[in-house]
Amino acid sequence: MPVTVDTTRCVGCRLCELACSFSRHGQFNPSLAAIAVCFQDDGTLAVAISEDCAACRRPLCADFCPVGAITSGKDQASAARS
Amino acid sequence: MPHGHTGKMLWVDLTAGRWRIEAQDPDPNFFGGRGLNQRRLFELQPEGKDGLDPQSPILLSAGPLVGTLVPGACRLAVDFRNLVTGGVGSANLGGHFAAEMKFAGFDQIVIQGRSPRPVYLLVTPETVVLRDAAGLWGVDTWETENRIKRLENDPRIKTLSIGPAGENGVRFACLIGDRGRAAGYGGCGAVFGAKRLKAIAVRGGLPVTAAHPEALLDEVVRFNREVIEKSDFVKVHRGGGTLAAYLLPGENRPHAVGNMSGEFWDNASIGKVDRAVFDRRYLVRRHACFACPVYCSSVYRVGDLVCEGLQANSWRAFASNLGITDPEMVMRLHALANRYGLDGDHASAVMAWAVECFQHGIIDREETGGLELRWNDGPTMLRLLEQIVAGTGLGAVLAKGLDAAAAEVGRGSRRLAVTAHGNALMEAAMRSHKAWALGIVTSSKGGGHLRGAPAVEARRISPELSRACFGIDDIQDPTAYENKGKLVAWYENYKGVVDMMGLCYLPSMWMELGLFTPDQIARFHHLVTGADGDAATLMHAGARLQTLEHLFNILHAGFGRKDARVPEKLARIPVDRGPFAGQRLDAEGWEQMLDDYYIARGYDPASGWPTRERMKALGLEEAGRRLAAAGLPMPSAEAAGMMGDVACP
Repeated sequence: MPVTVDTTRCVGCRLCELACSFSRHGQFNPSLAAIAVCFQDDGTLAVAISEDCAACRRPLCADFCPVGAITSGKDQASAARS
Repeated sequence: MPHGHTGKMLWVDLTAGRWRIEAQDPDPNFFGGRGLNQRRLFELQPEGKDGLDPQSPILLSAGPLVGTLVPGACRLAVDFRNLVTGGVGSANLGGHFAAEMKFAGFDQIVIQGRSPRPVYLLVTPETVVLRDAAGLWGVDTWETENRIKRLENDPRIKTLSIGPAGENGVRFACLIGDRGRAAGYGGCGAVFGAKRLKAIAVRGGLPVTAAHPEALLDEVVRFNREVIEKSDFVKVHRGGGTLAAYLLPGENRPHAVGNMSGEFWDNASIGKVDRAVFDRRYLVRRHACFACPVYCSSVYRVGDLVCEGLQANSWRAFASNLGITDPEMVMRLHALANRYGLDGDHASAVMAWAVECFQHGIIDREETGGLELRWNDGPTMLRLLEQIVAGTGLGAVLAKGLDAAAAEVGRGSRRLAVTAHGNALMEAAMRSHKAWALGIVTSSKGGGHLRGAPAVEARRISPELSRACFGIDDIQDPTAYENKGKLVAWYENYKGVVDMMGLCYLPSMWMELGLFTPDQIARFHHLVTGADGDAATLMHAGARLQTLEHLFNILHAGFGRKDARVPEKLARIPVDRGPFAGQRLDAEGWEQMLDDYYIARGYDPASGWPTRERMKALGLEEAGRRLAAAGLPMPSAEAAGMMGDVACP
């Protein structure tokens, strides 16, 4: 299950992109990340999650998010079960 | 590919419309960013050529920590010959451009020549190409970014562009990235304009790697947990950036008020335009630069404008220094400066000076194109800003910069202008905070607080802590002159390190002593690049960079101690109210600080030039030979009355 992002909290630092590419490929390369922050003309942000996002036991992107905007799929599943 | 670096630089010759890629090994003396740029600028800048000359280069570089998880490593250094001072031009911006440039494959881009027609430069891992920009000429920076993204069909492109101010040669035109990030000082926007370079657009796809990736990850996690998340500075700045920190509620702290005539602005005025007002009325969300967990910026929406980057500087520029208490007008002036590509500090300085000249009857409506200039008049200031960009009315004079405008207008207007090395100042607290004032005036880019002026001076650092951090006895009293020269020299070297690495100066020892100590920077640098340099090595490199910039200033602008003068207005008019009432800069204290400063730098105190021994200790003999060949031999330590190389580090 992929991560979910609360875009109202996102500040656009893109640490998640760096953390994801590092976690999956051992290098800093946002173009290889499964998560991408997009800046909109109206000042808001959109975050795209690719289908590749599912495999992390503990998503590094969520660990590095400074505002706690990212929730891992496993956490969601646990919350749903309880 | 060397770790932390792309190992490549891009040379662009706009005259010929050609470019080439060169391999570039990591430089153990200048590292990257401002260091690498200044080293090449010193080599490339021809003597006797203005910064607008096609032969004069402009250089962009991102340091070795940029593109990694090291927090706040996002800065781009932009270096060139300063259009205002004739010496070092050096600007720096955050946002996302620097990291994207590295992901596109380049540590550095060097631009030379002049294109026969307007162009923009597109750089991706697959291509480097000069695109026709005729359709973008005259367009503001925000729309330029939008259009390039559409033209290239890629919304994730990052741009660095000029607006009409740069195209029209305004001497304090700047470069804008991410709509609200400015490479402000020195006129780099006009350098782009003279080269007919509308923008550089970058798009990544390549990696940045670390020498010790797992250890780096552990260290960043530890640093975030133990330092960033426990920092008072970070806590305050997450609530509204420097705007929140600068305008602490109810505090009668110094500002720049009414063309730097005063430093006290009453709380009633501040309350109309403080951070809480902006947040309540206009806040869309908090905003971060690339890889920064501090997210000190904010995005605001005012009517049709969505703008970012309103920090303490912009507030000082467009609120207190012009006396404006309408928050919408402050936002509109800030947004317009960004769209037109104007340095907000210098724009404020010339406009505030014009208002004061008008109030004193030095200039009249005939010269202003019919405008009546007065304090707290946002709509008129918007029109004056338009005049500056268009070169109409009084704007044609103001567009030359404050120093040139004062010379042209004459009639006693010089006394109303606050400058250092010919550069306009728009600063708070210079009368009361002595190291702050010294660092602003001795700045190697002519003037400004982003070199050796220590923001921590306001924090009343204890002597124990001062000795532990700086090896300096007592800096506790901001109004005292003692020990401040040494402190400024220390911070100049430290800022060199920060800029060479590509770090941000805000979450650093500049603001809070526990943030990014030289030891910590050395640790990150080692984990990213594998290089072994310790803190002392880095600080020595910072001193080398600072001295190289001073040599550039001597060679191209003839600067020395004679130019590091107290701005006359700050000596003549004391602070009239508030906790620092009565404070001003006095000549005797200033000269004492300068003596201490030059000795701490290892310079001859009489001339303010580095000694031959100091240059040798820093490995700058080659630069020294160039100056000697130009008839500018540096003094010996013996002639300067100094024993060997006494500077620290």
